[in-house]
Amino acid sequence: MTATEPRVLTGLAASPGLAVGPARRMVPPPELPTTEPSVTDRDAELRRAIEALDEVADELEETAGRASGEAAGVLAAQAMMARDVSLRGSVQRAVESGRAAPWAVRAAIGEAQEMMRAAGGYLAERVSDLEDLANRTIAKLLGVAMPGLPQPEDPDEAYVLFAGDLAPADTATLPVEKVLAIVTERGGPTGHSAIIARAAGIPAVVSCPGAADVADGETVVVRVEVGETAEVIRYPTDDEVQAVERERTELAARLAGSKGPGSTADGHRVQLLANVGSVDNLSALTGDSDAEGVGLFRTEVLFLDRASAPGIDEQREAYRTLLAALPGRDVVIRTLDAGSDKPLAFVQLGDEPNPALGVRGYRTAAVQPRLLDDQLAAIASAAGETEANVRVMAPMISTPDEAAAFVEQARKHGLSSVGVMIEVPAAALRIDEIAEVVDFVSIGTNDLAQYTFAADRTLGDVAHLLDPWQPALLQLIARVAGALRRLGKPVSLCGEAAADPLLAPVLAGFGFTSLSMAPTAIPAVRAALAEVTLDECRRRADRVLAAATPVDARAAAKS
Amino acid sequence: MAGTTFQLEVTVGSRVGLHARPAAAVAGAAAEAAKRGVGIRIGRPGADPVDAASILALMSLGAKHGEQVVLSTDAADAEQAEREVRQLAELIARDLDAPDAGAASAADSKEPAQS
Repeated sequence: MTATEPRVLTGLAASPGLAVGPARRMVPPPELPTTEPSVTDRDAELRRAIEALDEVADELEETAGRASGEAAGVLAAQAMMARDVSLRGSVQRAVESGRAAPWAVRAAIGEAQEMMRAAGGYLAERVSDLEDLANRTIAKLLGVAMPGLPQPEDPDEAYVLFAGDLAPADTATLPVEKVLAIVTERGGPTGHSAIIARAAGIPAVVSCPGAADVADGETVVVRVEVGETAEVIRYPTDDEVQAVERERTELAARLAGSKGPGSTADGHRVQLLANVGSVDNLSALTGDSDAEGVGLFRTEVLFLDRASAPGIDEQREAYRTLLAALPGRDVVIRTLDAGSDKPLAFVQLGDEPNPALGVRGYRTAAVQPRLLDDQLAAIASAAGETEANVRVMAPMISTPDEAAAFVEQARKHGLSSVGVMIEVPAAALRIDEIAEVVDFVSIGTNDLAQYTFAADRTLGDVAHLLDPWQPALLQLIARVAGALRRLGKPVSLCGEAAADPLLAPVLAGFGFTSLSMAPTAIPAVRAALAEVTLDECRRRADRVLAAATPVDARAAAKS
Repeated sequence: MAGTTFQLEVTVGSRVGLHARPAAAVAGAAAEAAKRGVGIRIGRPGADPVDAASILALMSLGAKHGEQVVLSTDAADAEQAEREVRQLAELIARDLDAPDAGAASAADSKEPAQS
């Protein structure tokens, strides 16, 4: 370490937690040596190139077999590219013209990339798949480390993953059980690395300058508390390492004791539910997270990447699979939230200069009423065939009239529990009128923060305004909870904020009857609630509402 | 094309055209046919055809939903040639984008983490 090198690197908090372990870096792509060797035996050189392509294809197929969903599809298609006859033809021509195998592969794949680029559009995305293929094959031919995830000498070693940024393909095959923490030089708190880290419950620091200086194998401590700290400590002393390990053991012991339904120390129930994006994620509801049900089932997954809307039958099957897996439990299904960052090919919305303020969520029902009607019919039909307690809610409701219209429409389909999401400040301000007509509401804090602060949630520069501890946001949230509780109706929160263990007792104090979050966040929230009485929750809620800044609000929440 | 023993025109059934997954399925099937001795080529009517067993060539053909493509072969056994070409044509005419778990988890990862 030089005198100018800081010992503590600070970045942005992407996923909370604490970890200590050896740093392992993503392996960069191989570089071709500056001088190309001359080839004496061209037949042997060609065999070498083909063997390398075969091995890469075999490995990709093997990885595809272990991956699922889209990742498996991408890997399988990549393997086919490695076996492609026309690609091999180009490699052969290059070798026959005297080029050495790695250079021949580079040239042949370069030609294919040109072809894809020229075709434009969707195919341009395949350029990076081909680049990865070239890198893998060349690494094999040069006998250097395979680019991508680190391959420690001890295959069982757990490590802190360091990278420039993670690509979707990296995260798809991330060995989550071996990754203690993720540190990236680039990327934002809402970027791909962050989403994956949170879903897997792995601490992550993003946009961390200086992360590039950390050497492979160096021991580091990663400490992330969302909204407070996001640091990487280099050269920790033995005492520091032991302290971290002690802290981790204590935390693990505390969470291990956390099972069953959520409640405060004096037995006041707060339902702990899971946000679920596809039927594939259902396994996350059992096991450690022990969720009581689903507080947010996003139905977009059935619709995205589709050229036309799935029919009632197909939708019913999907909902039935979900509901049949959760007999007797609450399952809140959100109707289609299309538009904005989730455009659908078959919902023609025209060119919107501000899609987040355009036709999205429930508003799409005005342009394509059939879509919502079909969806409600499918949900009602699946609900009738299964034992789950089905609730439906519409996203992006702005007025009491919209809420009433949705409730009426859903009831016509025979759905008995109908609610709306509160994401628009206008709806939060008119919550008393909305509460009268619905059976429940659920607050989407990410969008409510975005619209309350006029701050784009995809923009890193305004991230401080999107802090769930902002007093204006907390005030709106408390107002909504109060209105529903006065009528004795359930009120839920299903944004990022629900996963914050410090905020959970405050939300219980506001009157929330359920919190819905990524399943991995449930144990910590359950433990935090179990440590306080309802009276203490209410005291904290009052103190937090009196705070002037996010920092003061957090301080007020700490007993 | 000289030496063509069988040729057939077919409409692309995949809603997203012959991209990624559909292209992989078609190229895979064409490679199987080639192993059985029937190499099949694919192209737009009147244009130079490409090897249907090459996923790269297929994708760069860029055939979209509803477009016509011509399948042809110069395999010697006329009866087998026709059988293999018809089989591949059926596949191309089908909607190969039928949803599966793949589409679901892809959408999931594309979406911001929370509501």
